[in-house]
Amino acid sequence: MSELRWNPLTEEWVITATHRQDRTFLPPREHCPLCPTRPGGPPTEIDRPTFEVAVFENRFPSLHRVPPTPEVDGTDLTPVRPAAGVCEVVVYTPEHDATLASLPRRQIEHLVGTWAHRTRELGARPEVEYVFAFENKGEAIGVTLHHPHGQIYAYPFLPPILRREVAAAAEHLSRHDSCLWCDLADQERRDGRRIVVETDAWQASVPFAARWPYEVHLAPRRHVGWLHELTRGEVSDLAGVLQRLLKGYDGLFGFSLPYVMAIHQRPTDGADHAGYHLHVEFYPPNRSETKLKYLAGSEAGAGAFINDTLPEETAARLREALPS
Amino acid sequence: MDDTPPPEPTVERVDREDGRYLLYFSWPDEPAPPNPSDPPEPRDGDADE
Repeated sequence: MSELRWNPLTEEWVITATHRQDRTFLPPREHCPLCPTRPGGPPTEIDRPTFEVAVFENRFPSLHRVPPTPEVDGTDLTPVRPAAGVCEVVVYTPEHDATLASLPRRQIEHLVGTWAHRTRELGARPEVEYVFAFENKGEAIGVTLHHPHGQIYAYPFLPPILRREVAAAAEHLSRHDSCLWCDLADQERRDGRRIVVETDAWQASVPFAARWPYEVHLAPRRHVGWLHELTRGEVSDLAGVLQRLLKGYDGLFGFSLPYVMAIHQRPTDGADHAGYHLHVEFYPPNRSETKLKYLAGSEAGAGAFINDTLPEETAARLREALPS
Repeated sequence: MDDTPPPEPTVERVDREDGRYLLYFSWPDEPAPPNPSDPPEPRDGDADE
């Protein structure tokens, strides 16, 4: 069953989704549910021999277009809501062994177009307050399917991290009459030490206060809030930067680097979020070739991240790993 | 930098028996824009490495 339970101590919604315990877990490639259905083979999620980009509703969703009745009753202190929303899977390519880094640039442009389309369409649903496109890559992150794909969650609430970013953006706009991300990007450009990739339209850097050793934030130079506001040139440039950055990640330790990719756009709750700036965040879990960063006592119990590396040094290593 | 909007995809919807939908995205065939990160084509007379 699935429902939203309010935690009044942290002021956040928690989604229960017990049916997800039964989801497909690391099937062999001949039983991959994201590959096109082969003639005579078992049916997969994809009913044609090929496609450019495919999107389907998750078979094991955390949020539902028609949500089930909650299993428990809420109270004034701990309200419960139906788990309304939408969970989609975005299949990047029919090629089972591809990665986002290995896709042709034009295919990445189409993927950006797909994310933009889904943000507009899902964000127009009355119950949806935030559309979140993301990718979990690699078993270290907990992926259950190797076929290159991402996910989209259309939440009926503003998730905690986005809520904090939205509040910070509004506060900065009110105090300085400028965008927080634009001001941070200017500061990074003047400093230069944490920049990883720069183009005419985009800038990627390891954040000054990075929580993960090789965390990178990528933002357009122009102040826009959603992917569907990007021009054709900006989309093309973004595809090139993504290719370059992700190949750099793969070159860092000589293997396909796991990561979480999180696309942060403005909420779709109808409020004015003029100070919020579209950006993409990457959190690889590796702190070295063989060691992972775990969310342990300080991070999980107190919410205070400890980074074992210096952003200025990891940015330099990433620049060296970029393809020439 | 091309300031025009990106091409809109064609979206074909398939409604499954289990109530879920499946969307196939496709784009019109078009020439690829110039890629500034691609190395320039070798000129006549350039020596091979």
